[in-house]
Amino acid sequence: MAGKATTTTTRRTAALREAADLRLGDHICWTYSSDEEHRTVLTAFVAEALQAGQQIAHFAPRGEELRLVEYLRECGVDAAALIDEGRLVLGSAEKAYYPKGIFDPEESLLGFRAMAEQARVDGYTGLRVAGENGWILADWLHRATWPGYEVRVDRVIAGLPLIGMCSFDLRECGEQIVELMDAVHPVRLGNSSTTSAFHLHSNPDDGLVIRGQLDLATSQTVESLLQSLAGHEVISRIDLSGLSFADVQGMRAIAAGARAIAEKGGMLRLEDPPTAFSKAWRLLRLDEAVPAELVASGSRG
Amino acid sequence: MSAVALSHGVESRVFRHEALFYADEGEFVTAVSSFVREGVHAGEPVFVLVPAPKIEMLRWSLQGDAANVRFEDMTEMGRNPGRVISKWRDFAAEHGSAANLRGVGEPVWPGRTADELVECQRHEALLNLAFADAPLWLICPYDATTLDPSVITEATRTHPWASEGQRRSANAPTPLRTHTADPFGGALPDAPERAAHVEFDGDTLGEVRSVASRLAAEHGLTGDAREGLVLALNEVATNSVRYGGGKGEFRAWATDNSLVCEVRDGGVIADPLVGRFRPDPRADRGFGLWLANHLCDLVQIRSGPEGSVVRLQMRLREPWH
Repeated sequence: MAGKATTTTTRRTAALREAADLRLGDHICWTYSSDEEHRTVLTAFVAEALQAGQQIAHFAPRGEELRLVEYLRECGVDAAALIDEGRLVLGSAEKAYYPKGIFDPEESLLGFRAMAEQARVDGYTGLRVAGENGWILADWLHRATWPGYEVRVDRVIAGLPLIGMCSFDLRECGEQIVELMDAVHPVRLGNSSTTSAFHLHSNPDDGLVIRGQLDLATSQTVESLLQSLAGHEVISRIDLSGLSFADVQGMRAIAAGARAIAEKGGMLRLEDPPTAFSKAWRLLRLDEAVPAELVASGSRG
Repeated sequence: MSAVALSHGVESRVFRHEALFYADEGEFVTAVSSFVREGVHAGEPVFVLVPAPKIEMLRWSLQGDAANVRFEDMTEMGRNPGRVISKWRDFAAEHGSAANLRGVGEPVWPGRTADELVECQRHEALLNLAFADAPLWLICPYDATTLDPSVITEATRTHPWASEGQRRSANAPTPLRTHTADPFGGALPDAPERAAHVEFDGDTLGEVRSVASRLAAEHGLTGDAREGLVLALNEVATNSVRYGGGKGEFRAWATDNSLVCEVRDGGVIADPLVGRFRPDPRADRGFGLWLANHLCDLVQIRSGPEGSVVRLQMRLREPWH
């Protein structure tokens, strides 16, 4: 476990139109709908990495591993040299996520962590990873576990010199998948108007952020995400300052998450919840029944 | 019967719900003080839930005995009478099931709006159902001079026992016959034509919230009241989606005193005490209407075979000032 940081910084959240000014710590949900868009964004992504002295890894679906090489050649970049140099790592998404033939989140997270740390050792300023993940979600078996995995990836990205861009081809992914993926990435890139009503991602110092609206349509998802995280990660606080609404089901999802987190030992801090949230939390006596502490820092009006 | 058992101080009492008709403040203070003092001297927990000015009068009259009495302002706590049964239940729960308890609750006072008055009367009738087996002796004072005679008549129907202020200590109270009215029966007047209207389902609860929030802001409801109303409304509309046929109709409008949010759906509400008992935090359901009662100034529920309507009201100004 990393040592305790003394300052608390909040992750950047953004909706971007183009792949420019990406920052270390960005975990991006990129949606595209044409090959042209795919080419433009990926080449810009690589170009910016080269300029910033970062290592680049690209994981494409099987059989499409060389597409990026084609793109780069067309704009006069010697991809082969970059690969020889170790600057550009091409891989298949199957290998990255299924190193043992089955999807093993632990193995995969360890892999990203090790790669990012090695990049620093090798003298790069950081590591940029682009992964084409839509095909994974086409498999219903992964649809239930993948969002929780994304939040865990988000924790790795929040704590290391990493940029992670997960791409989804709108021609393949349905609205539901895009919505769900939008929910678990702090940065969004692309033109699609499909967005999630809530967002859940990581903050430094064992923190999480829940933003947006929790109601009948979203509370169950939040509960599953919190439950799947609680078993694996240390979580000590959830920033609720961007939570504009939570229904009782949403509060109970957070309460259930707090109980699961407490089983690993620890009191959860719920920071800056909406006024009605605090009031209802007390009225429903969740303050007595749940190992969590509501903290107002006064950042709300 | 129970009063006799009480004088021996051994047997546990059954619920006794008694209206006390008083002619003036002097009678109120004399009758209530003596009832309270009896309880205190018998070592019974006593909870007095009356409008704040009357708490002062009682404290003065009870002197040292007031220290053993719990008081709360009914105009605050009971502004929505739908909350009051839950409060009495908490009081009974705090003192275990064996003890004899005394309560004084005055939910009706001159100046209650017509809508509030109707809900107060339903509340009084439901008390008989909610506390059938509780060892609680509850006295409900009614101002017989100022209140409309029809209110007094109704009180004699909702209370199995009644007494009059000046004779209370001398005469045994009269047992009455209570009516067991259908708590969700009767129709509410139609929503006005100008009301905002949204047909909703599980995907459009956000629209219901934003229309209500905007209207609340337009009518001057601020942070706490506005957020509370929106949360309560969301829970009621969520109930429509989950239990009332998957969809519902939302309407909202302002009256002279209140902002009203209405949810209609095709479901039937069967439990007459719905929303009146504090839900177990670990239960799966039963939160919505209880929370609505505690967040809103008035909750009106009507239900029949043709469907249900729930109205939530938030005061825009105090009606009795």
